[in-house]
Amino acid sequence: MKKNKQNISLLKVENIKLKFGSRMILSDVNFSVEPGTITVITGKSGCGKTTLLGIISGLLKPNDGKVYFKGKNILRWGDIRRSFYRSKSIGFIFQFFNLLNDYSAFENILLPTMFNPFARNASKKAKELIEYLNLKAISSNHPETLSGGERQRIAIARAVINNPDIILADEPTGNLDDESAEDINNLFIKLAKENNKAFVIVTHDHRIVENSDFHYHLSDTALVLQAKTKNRSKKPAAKKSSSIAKIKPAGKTSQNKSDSSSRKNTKKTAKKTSAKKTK
Amino acid sequence: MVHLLRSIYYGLRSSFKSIITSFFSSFGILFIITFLIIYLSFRTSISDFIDENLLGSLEIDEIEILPINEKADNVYAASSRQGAKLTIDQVKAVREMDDFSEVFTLIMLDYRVRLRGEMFGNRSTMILPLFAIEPEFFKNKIPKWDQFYYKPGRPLKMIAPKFTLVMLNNYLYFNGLPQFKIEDLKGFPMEIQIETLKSPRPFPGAKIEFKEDKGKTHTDLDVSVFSFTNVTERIGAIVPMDFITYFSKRAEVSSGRWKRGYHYLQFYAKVKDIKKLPETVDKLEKLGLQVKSDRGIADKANQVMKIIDAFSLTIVGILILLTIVSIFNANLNVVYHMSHKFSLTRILGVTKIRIIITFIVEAAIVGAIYGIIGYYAGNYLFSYAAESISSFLPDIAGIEFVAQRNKEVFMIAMGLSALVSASSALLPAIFASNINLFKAVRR
Repeated sequence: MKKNKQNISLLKVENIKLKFGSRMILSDVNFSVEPGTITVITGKSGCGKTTLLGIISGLLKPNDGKVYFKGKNILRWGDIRRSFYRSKSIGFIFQFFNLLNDYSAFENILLPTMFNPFARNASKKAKELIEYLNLKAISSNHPETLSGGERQRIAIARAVINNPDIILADEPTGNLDDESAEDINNLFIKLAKENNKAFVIVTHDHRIVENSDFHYHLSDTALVLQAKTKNRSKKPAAKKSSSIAKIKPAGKTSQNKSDSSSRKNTKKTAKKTSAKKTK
Repeated sequence: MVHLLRSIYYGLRSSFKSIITSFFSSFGILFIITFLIIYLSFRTSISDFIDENLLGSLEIDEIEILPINEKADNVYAASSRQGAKLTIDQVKAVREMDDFSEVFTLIMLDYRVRLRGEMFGNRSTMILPLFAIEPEFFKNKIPKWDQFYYKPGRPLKMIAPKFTLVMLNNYLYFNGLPQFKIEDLKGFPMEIQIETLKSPRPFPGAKIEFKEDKGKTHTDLDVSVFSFTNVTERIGAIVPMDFITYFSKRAEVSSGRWKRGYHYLQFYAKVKDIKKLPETVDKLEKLGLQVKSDRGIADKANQVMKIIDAFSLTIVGILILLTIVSIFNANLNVVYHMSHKFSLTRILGVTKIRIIITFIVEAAIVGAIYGIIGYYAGNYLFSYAAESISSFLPDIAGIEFVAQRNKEVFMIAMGLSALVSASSALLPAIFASNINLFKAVRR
């Protein structure tokens, strides 16, 4: 029984098929995501990468297939449960930041806690994140007065305020200069490793691809695992006692221990999929 | 708690702009409610005027049944002792007819009655007949009708003819004194003196004075005014039926000879099927009776009211439609302009139902506020119009225009406007909850 629990992936996508009219967007898409990993999805514009993120987050329903979150198929849930899943377990980062100009940076970070009925000490958490992400100087500013990099860091803080298990990022560096993109990339690695967050990133940015644990390419409706060499030369120095660590949910430690075994599982599933596609 | 308060604060802050937009787009509701209040006030005023002045107190399904030789045109003759009476056979026959759902009998005391009253130091006495009818007849006609019965030891309740109030007010007006409303005179004390051949046995606990005078006895009773009515055109006061029957029986027994002490004057009856009225009239005529009904006038009045209703409700309908379209468009605009915000909040975990409820509640609040404003605006405009209308149209000066200021109308105004506003926002709310989320946030 314990073994089974340990083998359950954080997120598992199985045989996803999606059609828009007669056009096939995704067919037999399979992959899984484990805590503390960065999974990158690349592909041509309009090939369905963002749509796949929509399916993972429960915003879109595919024609066929299953999306398991901690062993439960989210596609069978109703809107209320899926909304709660998004609020509690998923963080979103977008290319165009999607901050609300009516609110200050601090209020934007707090925004997801408004929709999470179980959010506690939200202001304290937001302040810790502001410290952690070096946003103190701009926390009272409104987004339109900030640079792209600053906005994206606020968006990242917003994505993690509810302490989600998975962070979905859609072209997070697509609208940033090289330096800011580099910063954001390092931040992702830091968050993934230090806080055991799983990242699923849709990107064209080679730096993120290089630093990822898994790289999938979406081509002709199919998702194919790419053979890659991991480049972690720019790996940030691990800070053990970061303030964000306080947001960690209880019971994560056992999951960390099972990371290595679950990563092997993920690679196996991915290899199987790619082998199928090659045939 | 802090979380909840913060959510409410941010919710209100984020809704503020859309509420302001809704206020501008929902302006039409103000017209609907204002118009509706004015229409209701006019309608009630005109309807009351018709009821009181054209129809008397008869309902559309009510008829008066009189002896055929009754000089109905001459109210003085009809009130006098010499007026035609219904025979016992006629009474029995009418009561046995199954054409009526209810039959009420108007009876008159056969003894001479003096009514005494004092007001502003002037004491006056008049001789007038005493009538009685079943209290159920006054249901929906006068308030607290079910308390109209005789209680020994208490002042005798009396319903006075409405014209006496008019006469009294005319007298007061010409003497520069304030006028009375019906409510002011309820419980007004008076005395009656009933003249019998021989003193009836005393009522238990009643204040009865015996005064022998030329072989006749006077019985004095305290009376209090219960209400006013124009239920009968006869000049006389109406007292509880149980008093007349009780008093007559005592008078009959104590006089030592057979005399009922009262006689049957006429019936008021409710017909079961108004369409069969001609057949009923035929039956009654065969019994030597005649029928008076307000049906003809009532039909015409109802037709006129129906035309007014149809016209007014059409206008209200058009206003509602225009308002719905206007609010719908404005809300759609809000949805379009705020699609980014809606989709973002949906992605961050807001449920569809929360978006729909927020939209609808916002719209309902705005609508209700307009309903309240419309209620007061309508009443103010109506009162203003009512004041000036009599100078423009002296022919309708007799109509008493009364504004509809009561809880029910207030609730209807508020409810209707909230409903119109909320229903106009329903579809945009559904659109808002179904926005293509990724498309909207990628814009």
